[in-house]
Amino acid sequence: MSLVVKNLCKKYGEKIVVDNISFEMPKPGVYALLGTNGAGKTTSIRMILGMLDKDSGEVTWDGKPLNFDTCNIGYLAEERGLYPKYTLVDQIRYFGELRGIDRKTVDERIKYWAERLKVEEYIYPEKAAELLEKQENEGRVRYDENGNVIEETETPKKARRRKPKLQSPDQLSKGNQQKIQFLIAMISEPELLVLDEPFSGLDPVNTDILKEVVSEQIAAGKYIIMSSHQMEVVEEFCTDITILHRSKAVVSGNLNEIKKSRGRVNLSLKVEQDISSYIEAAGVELISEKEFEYTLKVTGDEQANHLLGSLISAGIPIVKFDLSEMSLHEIFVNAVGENAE
Amino acid sequence: MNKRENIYSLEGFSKVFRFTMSQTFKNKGYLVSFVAFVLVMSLMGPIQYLGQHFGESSAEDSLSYNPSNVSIDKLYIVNSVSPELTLDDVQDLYMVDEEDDESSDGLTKDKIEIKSVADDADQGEQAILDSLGKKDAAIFIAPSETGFKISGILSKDSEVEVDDIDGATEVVKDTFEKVRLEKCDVSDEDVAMIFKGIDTSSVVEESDYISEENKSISRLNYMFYMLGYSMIVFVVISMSTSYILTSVTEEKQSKLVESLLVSVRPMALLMGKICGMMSYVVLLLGAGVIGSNISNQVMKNVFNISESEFSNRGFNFSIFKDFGVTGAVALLLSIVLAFLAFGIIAGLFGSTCNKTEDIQDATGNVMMVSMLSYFAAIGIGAIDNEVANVIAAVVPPFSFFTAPVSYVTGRIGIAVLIFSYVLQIAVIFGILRLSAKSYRNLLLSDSSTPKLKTIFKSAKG
Repeated sequence: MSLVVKNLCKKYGEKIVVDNISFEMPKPGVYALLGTNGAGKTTSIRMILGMLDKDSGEVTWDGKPLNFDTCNIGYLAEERGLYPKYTLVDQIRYFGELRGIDRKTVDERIKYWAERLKVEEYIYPEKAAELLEKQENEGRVRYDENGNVIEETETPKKARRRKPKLQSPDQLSKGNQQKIQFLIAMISEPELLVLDEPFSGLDPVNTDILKEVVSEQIAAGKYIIMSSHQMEVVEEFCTDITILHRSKAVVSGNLNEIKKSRGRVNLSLKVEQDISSYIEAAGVELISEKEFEYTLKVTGDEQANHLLGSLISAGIPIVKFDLSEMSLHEIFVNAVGENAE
Repeated sequence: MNKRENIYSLEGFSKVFRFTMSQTFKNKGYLVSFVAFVLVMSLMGPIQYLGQHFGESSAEDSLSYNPSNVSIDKLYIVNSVSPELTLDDVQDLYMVDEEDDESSDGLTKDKIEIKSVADDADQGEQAILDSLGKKDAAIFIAPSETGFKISGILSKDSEVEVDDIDGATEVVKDTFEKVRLEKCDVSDEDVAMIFKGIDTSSVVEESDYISEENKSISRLNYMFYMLGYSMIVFVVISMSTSYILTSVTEEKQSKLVESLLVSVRPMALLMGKICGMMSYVVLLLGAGVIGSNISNQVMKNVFNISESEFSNRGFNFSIFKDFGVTGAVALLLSIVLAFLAFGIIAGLFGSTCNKTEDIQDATGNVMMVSMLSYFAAIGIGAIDNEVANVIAAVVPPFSFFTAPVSYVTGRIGIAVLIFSYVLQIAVIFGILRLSAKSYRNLLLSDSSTPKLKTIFKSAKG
């Protein structure tokens, strides 16, 4: 299997919105499609998925044009929402059926993913009732990790039979709606997963849940295209990137190679005295300093080694010397900055 | 090379259709509307009839005469004119042997006394009146200026029910009429002939007269059929377009549409939605027909009023059964075509909407076309002009409203109807083509406005 995106172009009237974008995913992994706002990421994704007509270019999956007939696609769109009036189970089943999955399998997958993404109480009325009961008993009953009652401090209130009621989809928080949409994207167990801003709007706990799922999908050999503004998260997963700026790809390729090509330029240095004069003498750019811990920008290994040599010659004890490559964030900012007019 | 996607593909249609259908029936609003509509159709006849005849019916009920319920000790029938009446003539007044049970209630033969002028000339009306007891009554048959006068009389302190003497008087009147005609040697058939109603027609010109003669359906009925049918089409279109438009917009606003478009073709998405809604409306119409039949059965069995006597004109479904299977098929086919045409237009306009205010504008655009066609259909029905009938039957969108009615009522021939259908189908294909090209682009666009030019612009890509 391989995904090939070749020379994608799109124009709206006279305005070019995607200009000759190409990349390739020869093996499973995460491909990051990054860019400034309005750079053409979403339009590119829509063209890749066949939702939007291309003016030119082609997208193939295993040599065939990519569409939902030739590839099992899971898509989490940037703009999220749910049908406001239909139950979540009905909505998810609908998407499952559209993918040709039988009802029994869909129900099993809903159960699995609801538990995995911790959204059971929004899907199943009995889980909603359980949660409600738990909230009512809060402070009176202690539960173990598995939710079993281990201690009751008071006599339970007279049991009231409560008809379990689910929250309507439009009452769900943005984060929970997002998790349900992620569940919908996963319902067909896709080979190619396209995630447009998957972590935006999620709290740290839910971000971790989603990150864990993405890691599992990578391990399972899935192809993932991810678009995000959260560089540190993308960096955690992606192997290859394309940075778009003003409709054009300004950086494209393997992330490690990109980093390597730009050299090791970030120097973190910790000493026990002031070394400002040495830094100045070596022509190194000082980024920040706090209690003799310096963050420096060097032009490469040579300049860093020159500074290190001068410190050793002066007999200054060095606690920490860490020379590292550019972060994705820096690569992005540099790429966009270099191409800004 | 990238193979061009088939934009007309309906793959996934059945799944969208099933989902739309099931969600429509799960929607409380639509379910309540369905039940309410069926109830209204089932009760429309009786309610309308009772409303119109409330005063009359109570008067008529009081006049319905049943001798077993009449509490009169003595009933005198004083006949001062010819012909004479006998007790056998007035047998509808009293209980026959089978009805005569042991109880003393009810008017029996022996409680009736007929006095004719020839029998007792001396005893005048005053004598009878003087002799009337509290439970007695008298019926006088006397000459009057216009012919005869039949009067029911009670004493001043009478305990006899007024309804009873009124009913008895009616029976005597009917009997007297019948006997009088029989004495003149008039047969029952002749009596029926004498009382047969006569209609007049205001047709004045020879050509009009011949044309009117050739029409099996009168101008008035044509107008009523046109009114009724176009109203059905209009209601179907209004209900469905508003649903389709809202649900397309809702889907677009919910942002789910992007996820849908990687699972189903846009045409399948649109058509599944339209046909899902059409099924609801067809079921509604079917239930309406059943309700209408229930209404007619109630009228027939409870009020003893036949369908022909009670013409429930206006919004009713009688048109579907008045012209046989062919007529019903022609009418239903036209409804389906109208539904498809307006449904697709509604879907397209829905896909241009981004805000709730846009929905109003879009609905207004669709409703304007359907309302114009509806009023045109009513006008065509009222004018009933040969040329106008043909033009309205072939020119869309008017043809969606008028063609089948013009056909079933004999205003146009089968050839014109088929030509009309061909044009309608061509229009639908044209709209479908436009939809196939623009629907997906419109759904993904967030800067559209509900205007026709937006749709055409979007079709270009």
